[in-house]
Amino acid sequence: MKSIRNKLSLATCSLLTTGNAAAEAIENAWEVDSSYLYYSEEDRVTVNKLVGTAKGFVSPKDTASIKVVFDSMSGATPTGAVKSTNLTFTGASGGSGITPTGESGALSDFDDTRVGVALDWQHEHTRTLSVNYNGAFSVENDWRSFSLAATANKENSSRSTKWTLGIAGTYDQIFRVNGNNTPEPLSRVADQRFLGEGERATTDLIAGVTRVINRRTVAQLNLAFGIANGYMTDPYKVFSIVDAQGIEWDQYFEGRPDSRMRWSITANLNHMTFPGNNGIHLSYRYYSDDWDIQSHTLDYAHRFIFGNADYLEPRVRLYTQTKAEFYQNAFFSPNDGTAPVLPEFLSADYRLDDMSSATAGLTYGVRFGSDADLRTRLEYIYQSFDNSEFDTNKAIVFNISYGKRF
Amino acid sequence: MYYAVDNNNMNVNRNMHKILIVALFLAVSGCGTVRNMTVKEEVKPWEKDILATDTMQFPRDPMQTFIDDHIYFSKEASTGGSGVGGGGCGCN
Repeated sequence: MKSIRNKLSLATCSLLTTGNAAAEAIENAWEVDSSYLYYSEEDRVTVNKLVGTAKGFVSPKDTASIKVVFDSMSGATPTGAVKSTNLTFTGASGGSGITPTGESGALSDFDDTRVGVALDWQHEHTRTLSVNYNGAFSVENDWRSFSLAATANKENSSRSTKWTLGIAGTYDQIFRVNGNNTPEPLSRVADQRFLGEGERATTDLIAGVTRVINRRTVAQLNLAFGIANGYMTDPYKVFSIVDAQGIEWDQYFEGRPDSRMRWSITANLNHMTFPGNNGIHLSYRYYSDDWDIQSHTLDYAHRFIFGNADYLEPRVRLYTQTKAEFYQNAFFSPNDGTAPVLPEFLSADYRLDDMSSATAGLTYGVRFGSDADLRTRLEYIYQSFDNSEFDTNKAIVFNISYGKRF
Repeated sequence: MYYAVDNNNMNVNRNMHKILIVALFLAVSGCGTVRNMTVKEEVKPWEKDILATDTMQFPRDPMQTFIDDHIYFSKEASTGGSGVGGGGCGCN
């Protein structure tokens, strides 16, 4: 949303525009956007998501927006246990409170529904300073999350540079759907020792600068820092105690550190080519945390813009991460009647493994007049894990979004 | 650690990533686009028509970025980098 001053300058620009550049004329007062996502992994998780947003001016210096999200997730998810087992799983709980799938406890069925609401208020304090205030909460079968955030944006007088500073606090309550509790970390699953709900507090900071390079190029650099304290463990995940042949003879609940400190640096670039007037979008993020995880993310999209402002946008995303220092696929201990001597922390959650991923996709955007658009996206995600019991994960993404300005 | 699975996928995938990155840069630099991206110019207010379009915003499609963040937050170990707030989830 833009102030009256920007609307006038944009109107002037539109009168001077030639070629295929789809310059915005007078901005409309209200915008709504809606989206449906179908995400499906091969033999694993399926997600159906609906998102609706509405944003509009409430005064010449204030815009407000609301976002509502509904998620329905189901399917089979890796528990962290290995496939080869001497254990038997009976009944609905299977000893881990989740329903094992097949002959081993390596996969379990789950069913979850999530509803989230976020409210946003942006106030223009001066011509060059605006602050965005955000509050959000979400509720699902086994998680409650509440967050507050404030982000300030300050531009220089020529509006060629914008500095951003943001801070957010998040409070999460985490618990198992059966029992509203959490397992004692690194305890035997068969002992069924449980504690109360898990709580986690996270503080995130972001500092960024956005700079106009030239008439067709804008770049952004963000530095993000986060610190989380409290319950960091997944209350469902287990790991296997295996013998010399790799056969599971016992299961334990995982246990992670009670804090996590992370930081990342992200560089973004948008450029409109000359003379083709197509968009180049490049993004790179380096991430590191004190669980010894480092990752690189490279995202490239090329927007082919047609004369009527419709577009076709192929996209490639490459990702690689190192494993957490306490990640192991399984823990070896001989099945001789002695209890395993475990480390302080251990998780076999595949998401903490050494992993590489590639995403390839295509988005098609259609404009209806100057006020509405329809975006359709199809993508394929391939993940490859170095040590996990399931060494690949493949997913398709179908996403359709419709937006309108009033 | 009991055993480490050496399936060679890591080396194959990292080589694939390097090839793709080089190919991307060659494709972009071959038409002088890199020079167009990096030449610094002062832009007058009446020249900001292109910069005002949706295509040139960060993010260019907030809805798509929101959905992507949720997908990759659920499936990867790293999070964040482009904004703060919005809460979390226990997605598997």
